[in-house]
Amino acid sequence: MENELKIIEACQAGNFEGFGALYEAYIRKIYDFIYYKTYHKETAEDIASAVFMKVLENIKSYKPGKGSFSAWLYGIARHAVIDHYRKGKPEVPVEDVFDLPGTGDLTVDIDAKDRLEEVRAHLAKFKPAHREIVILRLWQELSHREIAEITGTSEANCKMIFSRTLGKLRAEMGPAIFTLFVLAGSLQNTKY
Amino acid sequence: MERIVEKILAEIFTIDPDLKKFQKELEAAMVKMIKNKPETKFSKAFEEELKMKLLVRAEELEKEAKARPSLWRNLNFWRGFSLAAVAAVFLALVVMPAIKNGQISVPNFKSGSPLALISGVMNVEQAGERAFGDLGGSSPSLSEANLEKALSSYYAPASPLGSAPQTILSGSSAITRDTATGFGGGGTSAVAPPDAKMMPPQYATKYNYVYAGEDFSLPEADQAEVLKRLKGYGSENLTSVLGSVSFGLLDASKLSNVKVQSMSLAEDRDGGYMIDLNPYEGTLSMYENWQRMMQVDYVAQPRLGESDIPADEKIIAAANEFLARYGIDLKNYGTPRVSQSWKMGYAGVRAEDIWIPDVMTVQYPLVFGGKETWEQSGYDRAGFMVNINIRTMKAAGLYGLETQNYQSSNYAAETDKARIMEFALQGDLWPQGIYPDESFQVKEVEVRLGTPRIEYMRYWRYADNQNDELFVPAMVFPIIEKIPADDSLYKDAVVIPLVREILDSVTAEQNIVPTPMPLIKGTPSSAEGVK
Repeated sequence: MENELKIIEACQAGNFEGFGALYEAYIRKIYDFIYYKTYHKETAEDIASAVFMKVLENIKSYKPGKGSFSAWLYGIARHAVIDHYRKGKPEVPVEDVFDLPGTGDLTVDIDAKDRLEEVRAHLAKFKPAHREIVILRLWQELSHREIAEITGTSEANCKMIFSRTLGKLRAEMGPAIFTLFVLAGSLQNTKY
Repeated sequence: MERIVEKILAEIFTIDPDLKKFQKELEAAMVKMIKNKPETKFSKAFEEELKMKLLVRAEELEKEAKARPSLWRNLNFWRGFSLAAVAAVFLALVVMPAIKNGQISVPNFKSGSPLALISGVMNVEQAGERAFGDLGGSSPSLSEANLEKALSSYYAPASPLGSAPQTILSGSSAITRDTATGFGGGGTSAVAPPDAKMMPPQYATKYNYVYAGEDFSLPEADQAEVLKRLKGYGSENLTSVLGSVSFGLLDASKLSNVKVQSMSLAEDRDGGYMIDLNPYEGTLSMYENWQRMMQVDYVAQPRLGESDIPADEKIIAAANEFLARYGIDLKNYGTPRVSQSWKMGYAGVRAEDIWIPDVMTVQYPLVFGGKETWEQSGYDRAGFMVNINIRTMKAAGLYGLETQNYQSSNYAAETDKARIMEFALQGDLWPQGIYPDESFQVKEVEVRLGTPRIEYMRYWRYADNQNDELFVPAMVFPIIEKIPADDSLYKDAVVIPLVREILDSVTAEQNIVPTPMPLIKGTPSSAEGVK
């Protein structure tokens, strides 16, 4: 986003005129990021609201020298989701919906449950940071450079982690998924 | 999708050419992931509504900045403090001395410290017999959460799968009990949710509980002392103090009967902690101040192996050091233990597939009169927990620390040993799991119970729109052996309360005749006609 730093500096000086532009640039990304960790619309809206309110009130604490604004923003969102789950079950370290056992009692959107079930068993086996990279790349379609910024790692490292995690995902899903894929006929007719 | 998959494959093959031989499988895995990407239902109305709220707040912030009194504008001293820290200073400089000088009455908790908004000192007041009402009636743990179990017990008669009865010796007579069946390794938590009918687990585990302890007897007393933790504001009233304070947006002198509902404090320093205090609930938790956390390249960290897990003593020492540093008194708590719950589900899994968490949890069990308290599940002790990051050996948080103010009341004790044993041999208050379809593979695990001890059990009871936290005497049967030993049932004990009306309510719930569940086979005769 052009002039992002100037807008931030103005906000830090008490002039919030440009905050709306910052909000528009990031709300969808942050909301989606939270939704992919919760699978629940109302929860994602509540957490996204809290995140942006926190950003507005604490924008002075953002220090450009320590990383990008988007990394700071995603970091706040990540911690807000962790806090959300901590309130529910503080004795268990939970970072997102994939860390929770089963889906029977989970508060998730009904129409998202089946899709969650399809991927949960596989994603739950990865470290939260690694599955976050997979989701950011495959679902949010962010570039490795953007993901590296958000996760605070190098681009090369990010690529390496993504590649290895996907390799494990392939092994995890096993030949069965490949067979289904072939049977569905989509492999012969569609070039992905 | 075509474009992104192609692009990603190209990237992956650049990094790891060996993966080329799995190209089709990688494609299939990616397509599966992308096809299962959830629709996030982002709403334009939500976007607009939040934007309005933010703009209103932004305007307020601008006005506040302009209207800020000179004291706040000019004193650079305040700049390094978060609002929460300022609140802490306010409490320390204004509220606490006022309490000390008698300007504010202290909470009627017998804390021994006039400065305590909440206290860690244990205090037990005596109340009359059955002062907490019916203990069975409306407990969430006896109704909603275990409705599935109640239903399951109906459809899972006492001798599923033709299992052989278990026998224990109990002094002069033998007690027999058929075995119980549960799914997976989760024991009590492994009851299949309604949706699980769509994707049943591939096998069921049948836990055969066997008593292998020595002969024992129940307490002779026919009354059991039940403790109820007291919550509430106490009598602290901040009105007089707030009379001389302006919040800028609000004239605080207009407030009446002011109580502290919750408070959030932050150590505004690198590596500092945030503290959430709730005087009403009497709870305190701490966690790392995420704004000042050490910046760790957490993605680049190497994966932890089993050899990276420090010895329990070292983890406990780190937790103890943290508690000592913050002056957290341990006299109401027993011997700390490192929770092994992270191992759940990893039984039989290859070492390289086990994800070892960065954080280990140290449990500090609450103790009454030298007796530890347990969660009813038998998985954990009840008390508070400290999380230790095993990479840094730094405390990541503290949870479940509570005030220790109780009322005590007597309830009829269960003195029938046979009844206690009957519950113990089903492994829980409720029979575990539902009768599996014959397509399941059934794995049998023998769980051997040792001689029970009398301890306390935490028991949640929902009444008058709030959850009451009660502690009741219980027989705790330690699990001394599992055969095979690597089964993923990781609970430490079977916990059976000694209060008769709790057991009666469980029995009553199991006698409820629910609407038949159509998908379960082999249902009893009252469900005839149901497929």
